[in-house]
Amino acid sequence: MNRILKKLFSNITSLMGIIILIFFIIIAIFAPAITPPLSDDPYQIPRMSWDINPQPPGSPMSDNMIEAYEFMEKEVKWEKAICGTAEGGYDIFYGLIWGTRTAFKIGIITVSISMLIGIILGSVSAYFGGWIDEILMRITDIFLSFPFLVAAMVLTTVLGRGLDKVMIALISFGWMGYARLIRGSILATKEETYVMAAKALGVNDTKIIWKHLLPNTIFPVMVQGSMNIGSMVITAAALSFLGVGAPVGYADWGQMVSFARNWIIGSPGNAGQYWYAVFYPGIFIVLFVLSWNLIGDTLRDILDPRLRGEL
Amino acid sequence: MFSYMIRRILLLPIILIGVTFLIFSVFSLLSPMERLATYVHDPNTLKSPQSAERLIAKYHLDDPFPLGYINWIKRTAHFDLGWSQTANQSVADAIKQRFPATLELVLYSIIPVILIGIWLGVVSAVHHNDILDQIIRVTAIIGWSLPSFIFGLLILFIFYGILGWFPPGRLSAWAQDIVYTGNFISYTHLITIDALLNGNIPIFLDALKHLIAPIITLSYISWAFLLRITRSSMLDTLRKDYIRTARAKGVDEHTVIHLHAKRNALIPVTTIAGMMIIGMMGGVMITETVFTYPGLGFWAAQSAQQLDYGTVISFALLFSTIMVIGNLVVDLSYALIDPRVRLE
Amino acid sequence: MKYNRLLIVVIVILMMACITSFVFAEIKNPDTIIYATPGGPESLDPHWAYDTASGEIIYQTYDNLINYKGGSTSEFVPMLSTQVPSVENGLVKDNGFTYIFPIRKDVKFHNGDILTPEDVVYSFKRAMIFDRSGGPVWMLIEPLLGAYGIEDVVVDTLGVENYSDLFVNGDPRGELKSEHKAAMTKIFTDKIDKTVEVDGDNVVFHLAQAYGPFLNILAHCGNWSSIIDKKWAIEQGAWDGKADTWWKYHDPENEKDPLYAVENGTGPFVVKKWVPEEILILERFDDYWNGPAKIKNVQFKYVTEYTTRKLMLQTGDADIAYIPVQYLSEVEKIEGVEVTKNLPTLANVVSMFPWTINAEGNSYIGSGKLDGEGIPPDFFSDIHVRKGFSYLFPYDIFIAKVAKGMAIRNPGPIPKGILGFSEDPELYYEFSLLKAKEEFMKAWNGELWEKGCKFNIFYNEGNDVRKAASDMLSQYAKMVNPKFVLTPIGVQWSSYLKAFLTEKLPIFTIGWLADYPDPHNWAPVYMGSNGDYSSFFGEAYREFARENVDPLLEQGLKETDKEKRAEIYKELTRIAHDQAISIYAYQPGGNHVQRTWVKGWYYNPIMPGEPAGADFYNLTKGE
Repeated sequence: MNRILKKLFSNITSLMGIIILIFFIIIAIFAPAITPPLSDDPYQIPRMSWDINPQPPGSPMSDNMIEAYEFMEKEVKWEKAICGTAEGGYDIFYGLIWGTRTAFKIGIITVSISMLIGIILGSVSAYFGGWIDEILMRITDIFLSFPFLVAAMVLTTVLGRGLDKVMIALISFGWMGYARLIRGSILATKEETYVMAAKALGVNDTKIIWKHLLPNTIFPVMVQGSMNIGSMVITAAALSFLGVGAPVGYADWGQMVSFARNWIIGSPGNAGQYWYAVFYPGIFIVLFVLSWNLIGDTLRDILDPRLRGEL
Repeated sequence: MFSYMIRRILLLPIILIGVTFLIFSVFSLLSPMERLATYVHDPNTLKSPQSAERLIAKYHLDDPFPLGYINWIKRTAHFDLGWSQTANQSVADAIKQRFPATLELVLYSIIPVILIGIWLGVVSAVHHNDILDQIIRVTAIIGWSLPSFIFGLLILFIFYGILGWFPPGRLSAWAQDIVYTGNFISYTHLITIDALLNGNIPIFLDALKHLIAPIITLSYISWAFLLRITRSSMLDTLRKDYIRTARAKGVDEHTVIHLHAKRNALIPVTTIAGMMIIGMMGGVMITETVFTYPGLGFWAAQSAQQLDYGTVISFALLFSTIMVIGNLVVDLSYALIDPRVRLE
Repeated sequence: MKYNRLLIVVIVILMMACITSFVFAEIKNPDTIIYATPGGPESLDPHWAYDTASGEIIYQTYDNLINYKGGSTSEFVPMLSTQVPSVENGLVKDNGFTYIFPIRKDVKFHNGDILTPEDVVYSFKRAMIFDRSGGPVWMLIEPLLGAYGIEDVVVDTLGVENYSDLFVNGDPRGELKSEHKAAMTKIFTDKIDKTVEVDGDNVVFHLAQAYGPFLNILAHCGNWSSIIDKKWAIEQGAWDGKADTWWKYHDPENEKDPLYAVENGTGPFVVKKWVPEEILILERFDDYWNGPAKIKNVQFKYVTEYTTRKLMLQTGDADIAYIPVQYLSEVEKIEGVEVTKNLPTLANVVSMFPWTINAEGNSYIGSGKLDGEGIPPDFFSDIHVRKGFSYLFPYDIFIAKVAKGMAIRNPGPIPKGILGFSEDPELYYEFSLLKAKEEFMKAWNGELWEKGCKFNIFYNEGNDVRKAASDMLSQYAKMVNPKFVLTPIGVQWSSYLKAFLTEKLPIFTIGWLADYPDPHNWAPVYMGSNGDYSSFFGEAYREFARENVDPLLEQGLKETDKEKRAEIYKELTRIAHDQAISIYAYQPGGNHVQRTWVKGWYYNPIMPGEPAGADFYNLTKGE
């Protein structure tokens, strides 16, 4: 473990990734302090005005808005929208900050739950073999028959918009990779001598899985999981872009980009007038996912047994 | 190997049934009134409370699960896939109309994916861990981190918004006129090929012009991924004993890499490439939406947005069937290509 | 290396494509007008279509008996009829129960057939037989047969519970039970057949009730009253004209409708090619009875992306384009593009309060009691609650900011441009938190003010304007009394529809677009006991409406004197105001965006597709 951490810090690509990630973690932790929520639901981006057009960075909050917030006894910390507002007067800066929390939520929750499901199904399947293995693997095949984005879209169409529905969709079709991975590893480890010895000694199945098989096979799965965090966030953003993800006004980067897509071309002679509406959420998505991928790519290289000898 | 093939082929119908069952179950989560929403966009078209019930009965929206499932399977087997509200034509016609467009896009996208992905992967592996490798890897990682829709929007913005070179859609207005009403015979419905067959170079170029931006967008995630696979496979192969032997024998590096290593390294890569083409189906939805390219992906995205459940169910079935059969073909060809598998 | 060579080839082709883009970018379409709009038509069958996109096409390709005069919504000119019937010229008789139309001679259909009065009669009879569920034909059946649908006529006459009971296995598309055949045939011979007939060179309509808006329903902007070619229709497989098979042609599915994708009208344009949701190409009909159109081709390009339409406009690839209101400021800056704004549309958006809400399993009303954690099902039956909310909505801020100033207020269900609209300031609620507070304090004997309330308000997910309205209401409610917790939720259309049909929505905001320009298409919708929207307000409201509203609606329908009618509808508006039935949020203004080289456009609010679209017969292209 320490060896791995040391390698991660010394490789320049992964170091960059770690630094970016720390930046995001800080934002996520201090979100309520950076931009205090102005409505009951902190994930609801507050409006700076009722304006339909996006307003450029530095535009002030409209008077009746300030009045309304004061009346509701909400502390208005940012009287100007430092990153501008999106269509409908939503404060982009707020969306960026709280969107960080959303991104972590999406990434970590979907990956952990789908990993859990995958590990349980995969290990049961591998350990018991026979019919159980056959049936579980066929079920896995059936789920694997759907292109991920298509499946997620179908589910969100039926379940409705909303972050929780998006996460359900991502989890429902995200567990198969982990199941296969751990099944493969366990199938290999199952035949190891120490496992056979434990069996011969009469140790019960659960204990064998828990104490012997899993600890030795789970690591690559976790690595795979951490690398998937980025792609989960991208898929959630893609769903919002297609119009089936987070609802309008929710602090989610993907949702903010979908908003801004019609403004991207600006007016003639001033192409890119509304650049901020796409640029800010876009760059946050890219950096967030990039950090995970940079770390993950180096991690993969480190753990690849075929390369281990050379590093 | 033979038994492996037989087994895979026999499993195919079981998987397909499982797939249909899964799709139908997901849609059974909707109540009949919610399913009615596909047909009723305005409550004012329902003149009375009975109209809603009448419509539900007309479209069989309240059949119990087993009956609904069996009816759906029966109709699908007869290629009666229902009506697409989004496309304003029957689902079967909608698919027929849009399939060539998507096929054209995907076929052309394969070229850059394979060329760039494999080429850069090889280069990266050969220059393992030095500057070139790092640069290529980082470019690939950045490519992989940039969501395709943002990349697509960027391309649209630069190449159409600012420069005006590559417009969205499939054909320019004047070209559309000729294709739809003039002396243009659509042999294959792939416009580039048809244009050549009709001897019409301007239309060929126009179609190509409209394809460039979507191709760049669709292919770029895939080539980053393919690059990584090629790279690790190549690295793997380069360490093999027979390569060491060839080098020791004095064979020049160029031949070692391109004649010996690459050929063997590409075996797993070809199967991955096959899977990626199938995987492009998800990417197609985003790319076609960004460029309003009238293919299957755009239609799928629209129908999901408009809650056209009949269409969504049909394209879920279509895409998953393609994927299942595609996977089968890839697995079987892998067994055929790789002699090591054959002996297992 | 093989790859290098391939790469070079690819790059060369790319460069060629770039070059050709410059060479061919200048191809203009001097004899084609291209219109870029989002959605395409559902069907080309005039009796099926009830959506604007279909109506738009049918308008250009089929003719009706009469047309509107230019931009007017109340004056008519003859079209396929040679005169407009009126009491003065004697073509409207029997106190409005009979209408006579002399039919024009030498009018050709697109396939060469000559128009006869038989075609006219066939068109209307087929419409009534066809009457697809959710379709527009109810507008013909209401005046001609006094019912809402042909199935209602059947059910009432034969005395059965459901139309489907008459069929084997309850399948209306299957076999009719033989015992009903005679009775069903009689429905045709005794009822449908008698509504319209040929009389020499004339066509005579016999109405079931005196109907003020009858001419509006027949006029050219109503695709359901288009005249189709009998011979051709029979050849295509639409109703064979016989009395004893009519039920076989009733309410088919879209794909089984023989006239879904074919067109043969008498209009100035012919449908040359239709690729659904991609393109529809119209070509000039040179033998048009009123003289050929000035432009040879019209293309409808269906482009869902606003940015693409905007760019098409910019490059001249589109001559007219539909631009949503929030992007107008962008488009105005493009050189060579002219934007006409604030055109009065015949549409409005209203937030409605059901007097009784269905409480069964309804999570939208919280606890279901007046305890601060919810609202009781009859919450809105208290007039002070309704009045409070009417004072609470910031009408002017909404119009200024969200509608960008391109909307006006309505006092009641009738919008500006329709007979009966009133600008009497007494009928408008002002935005006043003070007055709202007063009303709320009186509501429910003061209990509401003390305990507060908590419920959801709805908007259709994806509609940002409605979301803004809901957010505003929520915010100001909280300002008036922090215990008023109104949480806006956006739901998918499917969930919205379901909640709407089961009467579970506390406050819902919805819009209406005119079918025809007459108050009878407005007031009943929002106020009648059987209204499209108001019938979902619960039994308490329906009772109120039956007593106070319905009689006035009937009067208004039957009254022939314009002034008297206006008075009746003003009275209804007064009731709407005094009872604070709904929040009449706004009437949106429309806009028309086109290149300056398109000439001849005029605005008629009832024309399908306008203000964004046009009457292409009148257009020319040139500097």
